[in-house]
Amino acid sequence: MIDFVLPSLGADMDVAKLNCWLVKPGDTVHKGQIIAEVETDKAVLEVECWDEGVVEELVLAPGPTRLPVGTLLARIRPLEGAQPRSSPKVPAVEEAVAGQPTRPAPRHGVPSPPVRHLAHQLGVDTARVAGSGPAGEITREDVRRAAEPVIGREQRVKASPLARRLARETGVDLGIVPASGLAGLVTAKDVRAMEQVTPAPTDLPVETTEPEGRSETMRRAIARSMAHSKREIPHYYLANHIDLDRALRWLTAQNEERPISGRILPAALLLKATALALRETPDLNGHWVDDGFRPSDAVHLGVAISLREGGLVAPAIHDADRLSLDEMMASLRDLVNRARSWRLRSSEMSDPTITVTNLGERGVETAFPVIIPPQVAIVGFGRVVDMPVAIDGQPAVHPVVHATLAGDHRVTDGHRGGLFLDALDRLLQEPEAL
Amino acid sequence: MTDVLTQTRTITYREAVREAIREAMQQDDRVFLMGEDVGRYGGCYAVSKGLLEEFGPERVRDTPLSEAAFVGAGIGAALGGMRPIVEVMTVNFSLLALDQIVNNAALYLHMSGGQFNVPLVIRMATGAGRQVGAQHSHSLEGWYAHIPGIRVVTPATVEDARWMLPTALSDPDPVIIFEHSGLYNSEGELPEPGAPVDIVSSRVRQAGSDVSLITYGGSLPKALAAAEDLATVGVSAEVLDLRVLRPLDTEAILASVSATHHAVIIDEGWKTAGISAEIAACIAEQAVWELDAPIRRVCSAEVPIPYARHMEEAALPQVSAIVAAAREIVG
Amino acid sequence: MLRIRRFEERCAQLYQAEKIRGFLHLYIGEEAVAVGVMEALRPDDAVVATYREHGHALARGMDPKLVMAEMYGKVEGCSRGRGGSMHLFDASTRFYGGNAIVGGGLPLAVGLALADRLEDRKRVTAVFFGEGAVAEGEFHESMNLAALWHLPVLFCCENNLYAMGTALARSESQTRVTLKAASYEMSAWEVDGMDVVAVEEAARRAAESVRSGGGPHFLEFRTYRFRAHSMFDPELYRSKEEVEKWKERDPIDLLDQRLTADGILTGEERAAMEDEVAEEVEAAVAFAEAGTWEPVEELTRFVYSEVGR
Repeated sequence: MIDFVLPSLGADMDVAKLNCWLVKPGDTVHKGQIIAEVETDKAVLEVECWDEGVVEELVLAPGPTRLPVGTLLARIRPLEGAQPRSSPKVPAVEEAVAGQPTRPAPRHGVPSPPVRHLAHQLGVDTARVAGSGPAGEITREDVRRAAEPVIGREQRVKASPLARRLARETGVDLGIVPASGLAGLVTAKDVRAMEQVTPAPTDLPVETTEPEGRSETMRRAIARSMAHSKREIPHYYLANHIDLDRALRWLTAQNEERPISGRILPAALLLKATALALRETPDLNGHWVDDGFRPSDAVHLGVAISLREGGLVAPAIHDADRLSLDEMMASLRDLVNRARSWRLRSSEMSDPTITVTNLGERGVETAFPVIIPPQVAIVGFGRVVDMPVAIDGQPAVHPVVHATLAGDHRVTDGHRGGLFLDALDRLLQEPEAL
Repeated sequence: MTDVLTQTRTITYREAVREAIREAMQQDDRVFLMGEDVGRYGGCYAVSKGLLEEFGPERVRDTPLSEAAFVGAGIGAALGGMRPIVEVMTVNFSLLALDQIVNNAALYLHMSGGQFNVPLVIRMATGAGRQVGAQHSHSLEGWYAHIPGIRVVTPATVEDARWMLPTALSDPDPVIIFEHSGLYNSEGELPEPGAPVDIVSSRVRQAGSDVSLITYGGSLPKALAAAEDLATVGVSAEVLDLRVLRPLDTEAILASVSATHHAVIIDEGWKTAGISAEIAACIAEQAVWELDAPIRRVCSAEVPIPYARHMEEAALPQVSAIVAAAREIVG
Repeated sequence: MLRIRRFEERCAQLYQAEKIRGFLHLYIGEEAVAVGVMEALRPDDAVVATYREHGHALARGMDPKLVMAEMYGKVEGCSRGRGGSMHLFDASTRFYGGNAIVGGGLPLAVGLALADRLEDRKRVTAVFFGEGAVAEGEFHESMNLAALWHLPVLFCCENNLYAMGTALARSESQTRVTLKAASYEMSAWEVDGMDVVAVEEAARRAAESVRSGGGPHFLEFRTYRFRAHSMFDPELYRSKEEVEKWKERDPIDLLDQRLTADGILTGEERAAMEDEVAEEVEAAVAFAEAGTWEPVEELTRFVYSEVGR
């Protein structure tokens, strides 16, 4: 049997309507005979048959449906001895009648709307992003990573590309370089004229200009510092579970009303609660200097940030107890970006009055951190996990975070530490007050 | 100027081109010259004066005013084994032969799957500056540089005028040589004995450290003059003579800009969508982290070239504009 | 002629099956012109043709397999799949395309002939073009130049009455094409393009004159294409009756009748020819089907020469 399909009759023809048949089943047809009329957007065209035979079946009736090229229209039984030509492949009639041309499915899945929105906000072309999610799905993290420019996110300082590159290589903060170039442009000369600003607290010198060199130097410094801490500071450890159900629900509702770029992460809640809790136990907030404790009036929260090349810095968010949640979130973001691009200020490195570490990043549930001298305490938060809890005698599953406190036993004891953790819990049950 | 080691002689650009054509025709029977008024008239710019008498009318062919036919005939003759030099009087008239150049010369190798190459050389005068009006003042070498399949060269020195032609003639593909009409009278020193030069690389005509003046053809003397002026105010300018517009020597451009960190591009074509835009794009794509200031382009104003002298001068790139652009970005 | 006819018919079918894409211009009805002229040319003469050149390519001796593979776009095609139906080229038979710009090939032919003249070679360059080309400036420039320089060009105008959809009378103030040639002091003849014997006689006489230094000559072949200009053409510009009328003078039928009447061709021989041709055409299709696609990595090759530098 020979398949008679809708032929391609022009370079730009994809579809046509079947106008009429000029033969009926049982008719004998010859090579070159016109057996049907079709209509495209441009014209009515005659369609010829290429074989000798008898019409077996007219598969489709004339009608207004636009059929794709290749649609099976009729079947022709070849005459005895006649050589039917090999026909090209024919798409299924059902597909053809439905008007769906068979086309291959798109290669990449389309990212979900929130991810697309984030991509749009950050100016990322999702077609160029490799997805790390299941089945190659593009995640938010993929988009964020793709959005980071080579130099790192910076404020919109008007600086020449060369100046930017030099600033990055030498750790100069472009925001404080006086500009001498065309129309307020910071130029290479300006950057070179600046003294190098090294983020160098007492035990973490970071003077080298190459990232590799910095990382090595940092590791040695951390090693010295941690050894010193464990030798000199008598640590005690306390841990607590904090139910975050109320806090996270409240946060979700808050975030619904914020644009994506302004959404608040749980980390900001934890930091704010920590800062406020310290007001109730001020003897965890300060420095051990010259064999004595010096409490601090201000709460400068050191936030431990891991660096890509390895290593850790813990610069301060100043006056963390006085910041709104939005301000806290913005500070945190800014700090992380600048830390990762080696653009911290020296004051940020030397000022923390307490440090908060391991905000669920590494995936461990409970952290037992080491106090960073000359501080006298360090707070750790593990991963938020869903756990069964009892509410009014009934079982439920709530998100729970393990909070730990390591304290310098020369300054505080378990009782004081316990008060801090209680306060922290209490504050996190009333997120509206944060 | 002569010194013990290198002989040089003073020669005009026009004489250099003539010598090049003559030597090529003497050394290879396949070479012949064809174009309007190249024979009896001696060439519109007197480049071919005396060649008809020396080589005869078969090899120095005056053509009718039929640019499409004689450029196409040049292509056909090249296909048939000759090495023609087709002279189109100016780039302004080449528009009549655009079909043959773009649809045949540039495409034959490709359309035939590599079977037929076109070893044709076309020479054209180009540029403005003598108050000859809008239809005789175009600089369209940038347009030709857009087309894959041809090569576009722009000799600016007497050495290049003398020695680019033999290299072009021995190239198996079509080469278009643009001679700025304002250069024909210019004089320069030609090293002796001399040898064919390449048609793929740029040359630093003057080294400098503060700004790269990137240019070609008729604008080279202006860039050199601007470099002199800039030196008097303490700006060390490097002058890069592109020599070739297709293929562009991007390596040289990027090397220069990476050293000086400032770029001024000078082109007598119009700025919009011209070859200066291509050069700026290359720098922005591949050397953006070397730029210490925005790129500047000094081109013809967006206007057909006027007749009145002061208006024509205002329309074309001038030395003062080059100096101003360089000073603005170097600071 | 039969080979061309069956090849072209198969191409039409393959185009409708989307094996051949882009533009397809069939030579059906005009076979006598290409066949007759090629008979009169020598192997080292040159041929320049248009985008309706399958017939000329086959008559010149190009392998149908290479032509079909080119139509399919396969790398085994004569132009590596880079050209397609409108750009068939073959250096071994001095077949210079396959030119898609109407009139664009005429200056090339003038140049090829100029090279022969400068090198004193007794070769003819035959250039084919439709009657529509006589409106282009390049036609007039080329005619003038060939005549002025006395070049060995054989201008072959295939007057099939329609330039795409425009009849000659609607585009030319003077429709006697040979008068245009005469105005350039060029010898010119009108020839019945449906009669292959007449075509061959006229072409032979003209080619010999050209070859022996008689300067360019002009032949106008009165012919007709039985199918549309290209695959997508509703032929609104001519009547079915006119087409049927011309089909009565199908060049293949005319030759058939003549040879049969003269007792030179038997029915068996004729049938055998059909079989032979059918085999050739199918072999060409099989070759094209089995062909391979040029690797995309080779995309930027053949823009500039890789040899001879």
